[in-house]
Amino acid sequence: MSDFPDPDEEFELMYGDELELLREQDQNDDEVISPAPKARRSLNFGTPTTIQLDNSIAENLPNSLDSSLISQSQEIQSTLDRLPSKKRTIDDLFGDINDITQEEYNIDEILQPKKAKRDNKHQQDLDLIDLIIQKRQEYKINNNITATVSISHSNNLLNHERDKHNLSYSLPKYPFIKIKCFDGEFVYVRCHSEQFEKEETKRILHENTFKGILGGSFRKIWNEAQDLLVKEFIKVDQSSEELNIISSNNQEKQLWVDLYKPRKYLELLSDESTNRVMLRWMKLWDKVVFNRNPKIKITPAGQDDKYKFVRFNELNTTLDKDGRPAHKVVLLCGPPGLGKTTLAHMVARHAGYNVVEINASDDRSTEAFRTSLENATQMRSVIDQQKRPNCIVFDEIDGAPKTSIEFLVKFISGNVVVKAKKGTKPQTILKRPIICICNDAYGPALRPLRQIAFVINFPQTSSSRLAERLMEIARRQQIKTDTSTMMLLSEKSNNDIRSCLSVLHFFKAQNKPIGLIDIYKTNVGQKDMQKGLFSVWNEIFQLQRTKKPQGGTQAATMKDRMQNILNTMSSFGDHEKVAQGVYENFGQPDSKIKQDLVGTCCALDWFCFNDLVQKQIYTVQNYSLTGYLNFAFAIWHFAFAQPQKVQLKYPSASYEFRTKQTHQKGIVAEVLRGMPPYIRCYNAALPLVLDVLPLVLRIISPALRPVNLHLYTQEERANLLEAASIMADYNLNYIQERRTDGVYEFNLGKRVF
Amino acid sequence: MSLLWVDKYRPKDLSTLDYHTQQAQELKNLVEHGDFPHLLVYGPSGAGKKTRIMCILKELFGTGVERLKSENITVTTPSNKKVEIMTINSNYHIEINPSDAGIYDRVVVMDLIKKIAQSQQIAITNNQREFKVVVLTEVDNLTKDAQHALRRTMEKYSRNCRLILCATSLSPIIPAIQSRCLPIRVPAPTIEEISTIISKICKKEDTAIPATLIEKISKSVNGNLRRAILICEACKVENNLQPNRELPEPDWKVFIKQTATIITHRQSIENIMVVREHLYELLASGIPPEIIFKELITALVLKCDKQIIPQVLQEASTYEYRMWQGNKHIVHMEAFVVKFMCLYQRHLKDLLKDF
Repeated sequence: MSDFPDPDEEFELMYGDELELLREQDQNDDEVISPAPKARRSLNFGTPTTIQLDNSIAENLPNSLDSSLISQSQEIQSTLDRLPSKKRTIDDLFGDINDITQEEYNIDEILQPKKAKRDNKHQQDLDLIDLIIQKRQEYKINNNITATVSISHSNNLLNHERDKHNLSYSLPKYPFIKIKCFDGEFVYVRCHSEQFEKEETKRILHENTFKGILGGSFRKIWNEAQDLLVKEFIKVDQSSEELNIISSNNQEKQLWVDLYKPRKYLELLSDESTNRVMLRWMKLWDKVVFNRNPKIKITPAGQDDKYKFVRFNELNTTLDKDGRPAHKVVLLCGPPGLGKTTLAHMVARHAGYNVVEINASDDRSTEAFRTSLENATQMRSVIDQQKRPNCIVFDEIDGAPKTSIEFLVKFISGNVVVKAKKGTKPQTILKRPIICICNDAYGPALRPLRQIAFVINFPQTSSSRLAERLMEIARRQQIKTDTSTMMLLSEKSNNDIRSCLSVLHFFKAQNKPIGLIDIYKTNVGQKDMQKGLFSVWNEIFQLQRTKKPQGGTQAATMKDRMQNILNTMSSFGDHEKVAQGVYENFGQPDSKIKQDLVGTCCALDWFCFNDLVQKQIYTVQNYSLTGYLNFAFAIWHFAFAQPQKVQLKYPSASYEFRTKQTHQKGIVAEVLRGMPPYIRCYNAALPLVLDVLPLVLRIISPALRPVNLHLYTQEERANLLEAASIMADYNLNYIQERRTDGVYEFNLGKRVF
Repeated sequence: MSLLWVDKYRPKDLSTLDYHTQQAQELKNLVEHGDFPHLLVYGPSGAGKKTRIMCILKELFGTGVERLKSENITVTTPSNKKVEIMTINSNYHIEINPSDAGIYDRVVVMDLIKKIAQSQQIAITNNQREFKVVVLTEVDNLTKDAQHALRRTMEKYSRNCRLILCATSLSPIIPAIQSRCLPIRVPAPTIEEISTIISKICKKEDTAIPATLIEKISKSVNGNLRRAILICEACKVENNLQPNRELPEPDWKVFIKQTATIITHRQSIENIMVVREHLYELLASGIPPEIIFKELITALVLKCDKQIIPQVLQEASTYEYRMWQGNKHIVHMEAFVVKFMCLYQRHLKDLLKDF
């Protein structure tokens, strides 16, 4: 319709359908023969009628009367759709229920005076009708269709087909009820058997549903939709079970770390092999704790296990004579935030233990240690219904006092002396697994424990795995983000799950999508990371390649390099050690660090500078100078940095030098001390080292023939005597030493230069 | 009692001193009255400071001071650390080297001197004086704290004790102490004086030694009489008194010369590492860094072109100054070595360019 229609035409277009219907109605009124004669007939039926209930019907079908009535009302009901289409046009095509009830009411009114005695029955019918109405309502609500005329037409056709079978103007062959219309005509309405009626009702009800534009029965679609919804609901339910989402108001109160804590072994993020080793070790205790054989293959004790070479970090699966694993304790060590505690708890629970945790917040004196250890290993919870055996987790054990750890070691190895009153009792042995967790396995206090424990070094969680989990959490929290952002976040926090979650929580509060830039820019989640000495040296000696935001790597710019070194140094702190490392590592032939003379010269000047500053700091306690120390490291980085990997050694030369120096000083002091006072008062340490001793050594070694003492000449003998007395004066001595090859050798006892 | 020549022929009286006789006479006059002020004896190593001090003491107290005995004394620091220090004492005097106690020298100075000074002599017999003498050696190594502690002690207990301080250099000693003492400078003997002494000793030892060798020795020792006599004796022990022989040198000097050769031989990173090893070795043997530095420069200057000598010396002085300000001597020495290498290499390149 490209043209603008005429106002009249427009009106006609809009209300064309209605007009047509009106016209139709007029025609119906005028003529008996209508374009849709069946419709008219049904119209006649449906319009307020006086239903004549023949006695004969009552006689014929006394039993099935109410059912017939039901069918009747059913018939009426079914025709009602059509009814309004004639009388009230479109409005009623949508199935106005009010008028339906009204119709029913009318019927009741008609019925009541005639069949008062069947009131009770009537009530039942009414109920049924109500039910039907209800169904229809349901249908209407479910559907909310905009029924078109064509649909009503098809309905009409259906109805007509049915009418043909059930209504007749002449006397039909089937059982019937004769009803007199208001125009005096008789209509014979078929009476069906009860069974048939029921089926029919069902059928009608079924057919009554809208098979519409969607191409299938409404009910079917509805059911399908319902099913889908249910499925989705179940799915959400399941996944929420997985990560245990607690209702939203609860979420607000909980830290995300707790909220998204893994609840099952399979959900652990930590390295799979570590988890497995840990679990296998736990299972090794099954024999002694649960008295059942562990499923894993176990080499029995005493059999050539001495000769078996057990690799480091490989679980020794041998059991000792008490059926306990070779390692009674596991020492989990690794940087914070990787999930060590979670793993310990998870594995213990997975293996069927009740976790008893003792951490830094508890009292960890030796006495407290003893109590908790004894409680945990020799008793079991009475209240706990499951009666699980205990598994002790010592968290943050590196902070425990040394004596406590020594006690623990003693306890584990079974050397604890039981208190006096239990003197007769046999020695108790440890029968429960113990897990110790620490950050730094090389703390001096942990030394005894490390020797008997099975040490598991906790590897870093892979960034991709962590990013995956973070994405899931972000999705759950409705944070818009993408995987690469999460990767960056996990890398930035050094795969620390805890700090990642905190950052996410922080961003959630801002309530906006997180992009790469946000992570780049943010200062949140950056830890003052405790880098090892070697990683700091590596950073100085090795050119770092930075990741471009677009992906790929590039050589860092000078500015970035300098900034990086300055940051690293200011966060590391131990300038002296790092400087010493740089000093001793550059120029070593096997370190592969190449450099030119001028650069080295400049670098060494900076060593001097640092030395001066350091001395100032130490002597005057002027720590404000510390900031200037960092710049030298940047200079050294520029002077020595290599693109290839460098081999670094721990600086030891300075230490060796100092030991030697002290040793030498000791020798000189000893020489001085041994001198008789009349010599000593003329000697001091420095001239002794510089002049006297080097020359004395020459003086006391006169040319002597290697022959027997008796064969010496007078002069030679005098020389020897002189040398001996000088040695005596200067407290020098030859010491007979046995060399490795068995030859005796005389060394001057004091190695003077 | 067969001793080293150094000890054997050491003069025991002020009157038998071989050189600076004028000064000896003055000291004798000073002590004659039985009293003297605090003394500060200073002069280079090997010039005879200690000999002079012992002579003064003998002049003052008689032969009794020669009966020496060693004694260990313990002092307790405020932090309850026990420091043991060795003393040599006679009935009349006590000799301490406070710098043996390291940073606790202040405690030594305070406690020890007080203890000695507070006890008064009761009976004054023939040789006994009413004061004791405290000889402090290596005063130039005392920390500032100790020196400040000393200055008050010196005044307060001057009735009961006299101090004789012995130092190689005056500059590290605070002016307050310098002004409280009578400074006595003992200069190094001249070459002639050394020669005379050596020939005198040789005559006593019945050793025929050529005059040229004596002169050679005297010239080489740089005024250090002790070294001269020791070298002389070493020569004699080796039975090689040829006038044209190589003089025996201390090993560390030889080592430094070797290091200098390495430096000038090739300028490379590997060589820097070798030099570093050498320097560490030298320092570990207890050779003071300033002496290493000095010897090294002397050796290097001999090997390099006249044109760059001023520049080398300037750099050397800069680095030596820094070395004193700093803590890690090795770093500064190495920095100087590399700087020298750079200068040397550049100079060589410039020379080659001209051809």
